[in-house]
Amino acid sequence: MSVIRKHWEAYLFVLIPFVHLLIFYLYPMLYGFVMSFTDWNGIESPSFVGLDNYKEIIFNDEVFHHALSNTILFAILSLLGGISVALSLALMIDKIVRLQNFFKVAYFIPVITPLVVVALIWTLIYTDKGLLNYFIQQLFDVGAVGWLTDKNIAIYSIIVTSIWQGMGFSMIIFLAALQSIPNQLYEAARIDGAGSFQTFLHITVPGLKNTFAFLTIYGLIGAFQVFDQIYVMTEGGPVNSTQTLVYWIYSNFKFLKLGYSSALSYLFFLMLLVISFIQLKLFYNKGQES
Amino acid sequence: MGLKKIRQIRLLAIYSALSFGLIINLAPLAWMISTSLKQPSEIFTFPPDWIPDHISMDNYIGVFEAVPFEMYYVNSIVVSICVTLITVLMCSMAGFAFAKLRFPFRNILFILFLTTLMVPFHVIMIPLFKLTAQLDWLDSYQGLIIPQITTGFGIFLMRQFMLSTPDSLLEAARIDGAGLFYTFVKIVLPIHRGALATLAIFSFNFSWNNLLWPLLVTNSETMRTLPVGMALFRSIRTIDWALIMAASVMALVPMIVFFLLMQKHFIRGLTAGAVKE
Repeated sequence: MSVIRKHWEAYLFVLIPFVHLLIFYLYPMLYGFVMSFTDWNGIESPSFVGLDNYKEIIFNDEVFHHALSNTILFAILSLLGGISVALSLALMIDKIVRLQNFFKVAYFIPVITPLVVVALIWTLIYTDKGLLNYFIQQLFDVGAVGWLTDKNIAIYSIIVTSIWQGMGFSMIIFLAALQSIPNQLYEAARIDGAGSFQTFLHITVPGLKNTFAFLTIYGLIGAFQVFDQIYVMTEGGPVNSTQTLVYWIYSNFKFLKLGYSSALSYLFFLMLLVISFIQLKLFYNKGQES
Repeated sequence: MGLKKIRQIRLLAIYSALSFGLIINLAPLAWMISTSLKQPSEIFTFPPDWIPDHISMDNYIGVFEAVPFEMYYVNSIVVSICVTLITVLMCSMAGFAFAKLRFPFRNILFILFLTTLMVPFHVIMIPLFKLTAQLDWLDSYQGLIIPQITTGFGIFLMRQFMLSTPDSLLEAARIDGAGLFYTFVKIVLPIHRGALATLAIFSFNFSWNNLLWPLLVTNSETMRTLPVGMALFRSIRTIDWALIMAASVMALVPMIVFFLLMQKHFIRGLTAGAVKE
């Protein structure tokens, strides 16, 4: 007890966060883990079923399989699309002086738009008689495209929406990284007679490496948790074509399959851990060697 | 053709590309505003009307008649402000302790907080819901606020900032007989105003936009926050897009104003942790 008496002030500084961590983080984590081995509807007492939930998910749950492949597709495409648009914007904005801040701020506005609002606006744009179908029909001789109602298209429409919302974020981060590359490097390259493509490849790209690493890790983990757009725009449909992992966890919770959805969330957790681990190995080990 | 000319043409190309991109980028928001000012019969005209013939503010009033929109607003404001204030206070205190104070088990405790960064919210969501139900906090401000008041991320961020607090300053305060709390409030917090603003904006934005947790813990219409109320708007009755867009404008405007007034802080707040300062 003398330790606490001596350091009581310091402990007071961390007391509430620590208690909060125990009650609202560690306890739920443990509780969820135990729950994942049970069959429970939240009302009657839970019955222990061992690994049945996990087996069912991995071997028999077709919706889960859909959700997994959709989530991976969503994550990869929204990441690639977002990063490439953001990088092009940042490279252009970096080159200009006048109006630089204006463009920076204007391209950032979708980032501060609440996701629910974003999803609602795009749902309106994607309706049969919506804005997008009007433009498509001006350009091509086609009928109304079911952007959110065609099972082969819906997921891509949601990807476009997500790219639109997120690209300003990556743009700002790229811009900060570009501006931190020392000017002398560019000058030296110019004196050595390097062309602009060579300069880009040998100075800009290496200078952005850590930023790429950060954005893919952060972006992939964020993209895996996609929920709001799905909830507002398609509710996982049509025919599970936009079903995603978190939406499926949520749906099972709504069906009162609490044990099952806990098992789903633990599998989800495991996947995210594996992804972060692989990415850290990939990016940071390489970074240290060079 | 001189070098100067080439450079000018390149600049012109860049400005044109950026402007064209910006038009596409902001078109959805313009469409939201335009639709919010329309009569129901004008929403789906071919060709689309960007500027409606009869501009009417009826939809903005209609939203309040269709749903308790003022309650969504009040709830969102109360929840976001409480979450932000408590988070900033808790995280800066803990961050300070981890950065500058020495006490047994400090590193173990800090690592414990760091591990929560690896755990997505969805993993604890269902048990947290059960816990909230057991505490009888469903459909209440406590339920909306208390589970969100400290984050491992916030503590980590504050610790990073607070590491730069000069030891000589703390030492001087101690010699002058100032207690730790007095030093923290009067000396430490004021030097890290920028850091506090960063975390505040990050937390506020997160809380203002959060859909999933409020969706789980609220039942009654008058406890809903803006995202929940708006997401459920569609299911209430036949979809009235003009009303929904008017509501969207109203949910977005405070953020835009807030953003334009303090861009620098805002951008730093939302990209916190991504850019080394």
